[in-house]
Amino acid sequence: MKALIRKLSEAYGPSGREDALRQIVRAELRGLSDYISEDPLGNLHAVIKQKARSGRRIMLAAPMDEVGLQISHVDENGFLRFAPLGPLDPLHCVGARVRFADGRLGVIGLEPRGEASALPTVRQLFVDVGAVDRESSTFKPGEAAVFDRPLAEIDGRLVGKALGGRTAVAVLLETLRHLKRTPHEVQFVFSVQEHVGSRGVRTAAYALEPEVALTLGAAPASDIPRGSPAAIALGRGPVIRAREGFAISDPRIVEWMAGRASEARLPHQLGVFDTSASNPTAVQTSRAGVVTAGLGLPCRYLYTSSEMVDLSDAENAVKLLLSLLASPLPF
Amino acid sequence: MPRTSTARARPRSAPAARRRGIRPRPASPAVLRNSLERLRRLSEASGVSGDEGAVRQIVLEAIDGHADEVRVDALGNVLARARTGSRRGVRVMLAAHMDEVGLMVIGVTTEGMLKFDRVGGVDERTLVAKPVLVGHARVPGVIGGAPPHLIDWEDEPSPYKIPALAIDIGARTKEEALERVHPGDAAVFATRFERLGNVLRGKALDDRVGVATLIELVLDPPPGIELLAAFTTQEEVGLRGAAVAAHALDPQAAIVLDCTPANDLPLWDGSENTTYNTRLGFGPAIYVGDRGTLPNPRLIEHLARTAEAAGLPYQYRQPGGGSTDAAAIHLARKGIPSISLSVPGRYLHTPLSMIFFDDWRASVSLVRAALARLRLDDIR
Repeated sequence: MKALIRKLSEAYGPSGREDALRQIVRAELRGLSDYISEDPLGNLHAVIKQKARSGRRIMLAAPMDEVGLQISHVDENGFLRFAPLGPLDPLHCVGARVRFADGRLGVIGLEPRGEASALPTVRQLFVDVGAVDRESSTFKPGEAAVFDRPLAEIDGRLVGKALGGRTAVAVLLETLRHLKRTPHEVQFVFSVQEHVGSRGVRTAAYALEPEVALTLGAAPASDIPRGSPAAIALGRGPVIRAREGFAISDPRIVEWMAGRASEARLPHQLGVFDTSASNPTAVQTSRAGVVTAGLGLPCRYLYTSSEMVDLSDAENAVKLLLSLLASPLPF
Repeated sequence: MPRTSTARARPRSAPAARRRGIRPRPASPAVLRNSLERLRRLSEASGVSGDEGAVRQIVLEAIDGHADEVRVDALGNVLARARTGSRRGVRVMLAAHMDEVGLMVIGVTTEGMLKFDRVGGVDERTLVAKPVLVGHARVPGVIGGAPPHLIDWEDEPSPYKIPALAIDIGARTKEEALERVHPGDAAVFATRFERLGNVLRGKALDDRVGVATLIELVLDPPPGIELLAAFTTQEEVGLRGAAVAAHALDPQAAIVLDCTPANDLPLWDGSENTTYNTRLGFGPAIYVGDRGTLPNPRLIEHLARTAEAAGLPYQYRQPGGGSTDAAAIHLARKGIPSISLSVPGRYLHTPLSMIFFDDWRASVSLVRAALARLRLDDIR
């Protein structure tokens, strides 16, 4: 699973430009599902057809996209001004290396500022691509870049860019790979444009008409110095989200997940998150309504170039999903 | 055309472009005259969000007898299928919003003054002393406020804000006012449309210029595609018309024709303006991403390549905030590959917006050329 996570984490895929991810996921999906399709916005659907009358239509979704930036202007000296693509925090930008779709690199710089103690703003930042003037620049507005970082392993934990979301993608792929028996129609959705407001998963839900949906993604871990006392911690299992931003998870599905995790003696944590870049209500309110909840992978330093996850959380998430899918729903 | 990195199109020689079969034929003088006259009527018509009837009437009259199917839906959108003769081509939705930002009367004082609120993002700084037209009867009034001589600036820090203003229609009592206007009546700025050489000025060019473009396309549709026109309502208050129009039309792709702010004045400290959004005179603005939509990358390419091949100027609208009807359209049903193309306009959402005639005409030519060579492969 580690090799898969590495491949996914290092791939280029800002919101709206997920082609490279789609290729990797498509290759991994080969032979695993009853059918695969790509929808108009670029989501990949891999579907296991329903095998028993007790089954339901269950959607599992994980995001392929990552935070990035988009060029807004090439200035007279060839520096690139940019707009954030997703929840990019200027604080985490200074000094970061970024990579464009075709591999060209840049480094993010900050204008000299009078008030050095104030937080940087996006308008004070620029990408330095080594250019000397606008005329010879090969960059144009709209081109997108992501953090450029290889995956690292630090004392058993993984560190890399886009790691929380891509680990969720790996969890879905591993779950599908090991799914031997289920009464349900299981719809694995690898979604686009999650970090700009869950746009892909919304149209996927319309297309697939699930009855129940689990949205997977990174859950911000707070087990850091001076972090929250009610911390979500790395290595203590996947996070069953009771709430994510404005989305309130359905209590039936929360109890079902927590109960099954306890029965199977799988570590898990309950989480409430009052802010979120994604928007699971988009799935919840699709068509006539979908019973929806979120499952998160604890992740430190979310949306920075060095997100950190614990592999055991991903492995336990796979076990939990397999256990959940093995039998009919209790509701 | 000014030289810049964001306007990369270099006009090709006309014969080369003609050989490739994509050189847009220029509109005849008669067509241009009609289009300008239509834009004047559209600009001067009252059509505040939710009350687009007068604009809808102009649209319906203009396309009457020129479309295979025309209907007005529950939210007031005009949906029309153009006579392209092709049901085999790509089913493309083209949308332009009929509504404008404006004001709404919320009450009448005993002195006969009309208290009002905004509908959509009218620029509050620009309200005081502007002539307006209230309601369907277009009762003339002026937005009144305290005279500058008598303002105690320390006591009254915001004499230009809505609570300090009222529409004055010359009535002396509440009863007299209520004979002519009612709470709920919409009001628009009483701005006349003008052409001054290459400059077009008027109110509500956001998005009457898009409506004018879309009418032209319905009257003379590009070949090879199925053109579904949506003249939408309530864009300025949340893209409401477009959402239901897209659901109803269920197209394979969508192009939104809008008018986007140009903040291209020089910076007064002499530094380079890097946040202009768009610039007048650089051609139609192709969207690469705003708060509501990440346009389909293949459609971005398609529009840019078409402009280059046809020798038309274009610019990229700077990514960042803002949104268009595309935000609602691309999320309809199973998802619809979408993009927006805007005419850049200065001073939008004020009594007087300003666009360049050349930018508008280039946008008409670009949409027409892009549609004529649009294939399903371009969006997959």
